[in-house]
Amino acid sequence: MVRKNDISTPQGYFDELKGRLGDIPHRDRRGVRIFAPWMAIAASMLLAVLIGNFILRKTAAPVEEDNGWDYISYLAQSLDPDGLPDEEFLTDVEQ
Amino acid sequence: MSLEERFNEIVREYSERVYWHVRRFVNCHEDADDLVQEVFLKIWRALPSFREESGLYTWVYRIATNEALNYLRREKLRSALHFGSVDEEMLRRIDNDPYFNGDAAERALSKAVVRLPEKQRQVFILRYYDEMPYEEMAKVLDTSVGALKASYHIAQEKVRAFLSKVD
Repeated sequence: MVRKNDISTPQGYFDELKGRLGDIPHRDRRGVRIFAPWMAIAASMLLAVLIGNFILRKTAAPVEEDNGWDYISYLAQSLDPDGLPDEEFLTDVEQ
Repeated sequence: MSLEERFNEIVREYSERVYWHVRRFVNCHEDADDLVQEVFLKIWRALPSFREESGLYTWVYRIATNEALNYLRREKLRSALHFGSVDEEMLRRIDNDPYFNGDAAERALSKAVVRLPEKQRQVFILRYYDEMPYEEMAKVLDTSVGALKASYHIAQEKVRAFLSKVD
């Protein structure tokens, strides 16, 4: 037997303790759901960032995209003598 | 038997023993109550992987002892941050414990145990208060019976020395 004569507990403590300890399996399962709100907060923040990014893209002034076609057109024209003014074909030698 | 039924069986069989065991480490009913819950939460979570071969008794006491020691280490760190001493705090608890019913000699004994080094305190509590056989204690503390007997002998000498000063 455990020597415990010098210390005591509140009246009915061990019966009450057993009841509380018996609840641990249920509380521990609920404990997994304690993390769920934190995950929800993190997911909400991510969603806010994504939506904000989407809105910013939609409301910002459109930027002319330089797809390089203008330059390519210019080069194409430069290959075609009829496409550019005569001055473009003047070289230093000719000048 | 389901896991929950197994756990409830362990609660029925060991809750009181675990309480008295950790109470000797922390010298306070409320902290012992907290510790008991932590011990059984650990037991519940580790129960699926518990191997019956190691012995339930040994396993439960090992968890309880480790939790009690972890608690004392946390208290030691907290005391150090406040420039205090965990031993002084434990001695104060013994003096102010409303659930202490012993006489002056028993109070002095409790205080002497507080002053023991960690390993000797473990052995003393398990041997003197819990009356655990050395063979079981060796499994709980993962050490040899010889080392435990030597440790207990030294602990007894220190306790006697302290009590003689008090007298």
